[in-house]
Amino acid sequence: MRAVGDFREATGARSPTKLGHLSDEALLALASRGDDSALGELYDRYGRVAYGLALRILRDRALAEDAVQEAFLAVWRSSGSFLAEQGKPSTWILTLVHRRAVDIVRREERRRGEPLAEVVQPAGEATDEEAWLRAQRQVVQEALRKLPPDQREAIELAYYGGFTQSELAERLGQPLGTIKSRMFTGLRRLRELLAEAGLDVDAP
Amino acid sequence: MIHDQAAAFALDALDREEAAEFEAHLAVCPGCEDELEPLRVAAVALAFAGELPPPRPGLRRRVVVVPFRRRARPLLSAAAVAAACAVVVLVLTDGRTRGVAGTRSYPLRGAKGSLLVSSTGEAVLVVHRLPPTPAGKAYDVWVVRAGRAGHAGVLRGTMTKLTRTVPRGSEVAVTLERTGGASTPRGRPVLRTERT
Repeated sequence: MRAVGDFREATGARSPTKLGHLSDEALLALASRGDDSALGELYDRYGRVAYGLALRILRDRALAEDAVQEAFLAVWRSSGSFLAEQGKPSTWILTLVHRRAVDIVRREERRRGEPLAEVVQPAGEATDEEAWLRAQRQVVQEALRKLPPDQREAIELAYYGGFTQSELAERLGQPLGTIKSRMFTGLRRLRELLAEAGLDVDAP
Repeated sequence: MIHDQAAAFALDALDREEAAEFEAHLAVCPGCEDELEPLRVAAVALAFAGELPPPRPGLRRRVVVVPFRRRARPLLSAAAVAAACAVVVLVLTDGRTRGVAGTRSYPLRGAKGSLLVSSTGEAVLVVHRLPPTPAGKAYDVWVVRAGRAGHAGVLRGTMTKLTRTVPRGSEVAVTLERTGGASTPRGRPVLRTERT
């Protein structure tokens, strides 16, 4: 099965560097010992998704770059304490990016709660990476469309809007317990839908 | 009920105080970590749902070059290593004489102290000032190699002789577990070494 976020598996030998054959776990171990090319390889694998996610939350190129830079600094600083039992490195890295972007958006009060726009696929030749990202995007968007609208709304406003659950309860005029349960049921269902679509989202 | 915060935590939808409270709970609740992981994986998949324009090339340089310019690696002072090694000779030799020369020392991440490994892989973990364990919990020591963790005893006091050897290429980690229970680590590591 394909793994969420695993570009390398999808795009084969796209990385021209000498570290292209290494697992994410091995790269983290090298980065923790001060190997900057290992951090660079991790950036080459996840930087584009990291930046796209931060940009979506922050809607500002400079702030998104700050979020990515700070998140990768946290990756580097904490790389020595990462254990494979905690899940996949890609999940961990993107979790750090998301957290940083949400911190900044709350600080900057830039939040917006627009629903997920359907992306128009650009025409023309795509690189391997672009083709892979498009396929990923399609799978995740289809899964999101299958969620009940109130669950999808709560999840998207939280994840892309940076709203806290209490703010969502107020904004949507629902009890906090309802918001919690929409997020929980929605995320669990999303995981099932992604697994059905062939994305490996199993717990480790 | 703190478990019902898991989905909001996975989505970063807790405020600062709630998130801190949940993280503190996670550190002592293995069941919660198991419940959280699939939610976190589903949340991260959302990162792939939008348009992903390529970043400017300069961002790579900021990400890669900057942290390594201000790199500083914490190391034990030479005196501390020497003092700890002297003790290790006493602990490891069991009455036989073995030189200090073959003993390697590794700094810890997450706590003050060091891991001392003899040339035959016998090891002592020296840890200073860990918080006391909650009732019914213990600090379990693990030797992690190729992604597999083997139980290597329970931390007792400042200095603990590991019950298994530490081969080259492995790491040592300590997690908070239920007393007398764990055969595999369930908690997050409270400290670990670099690869030996």
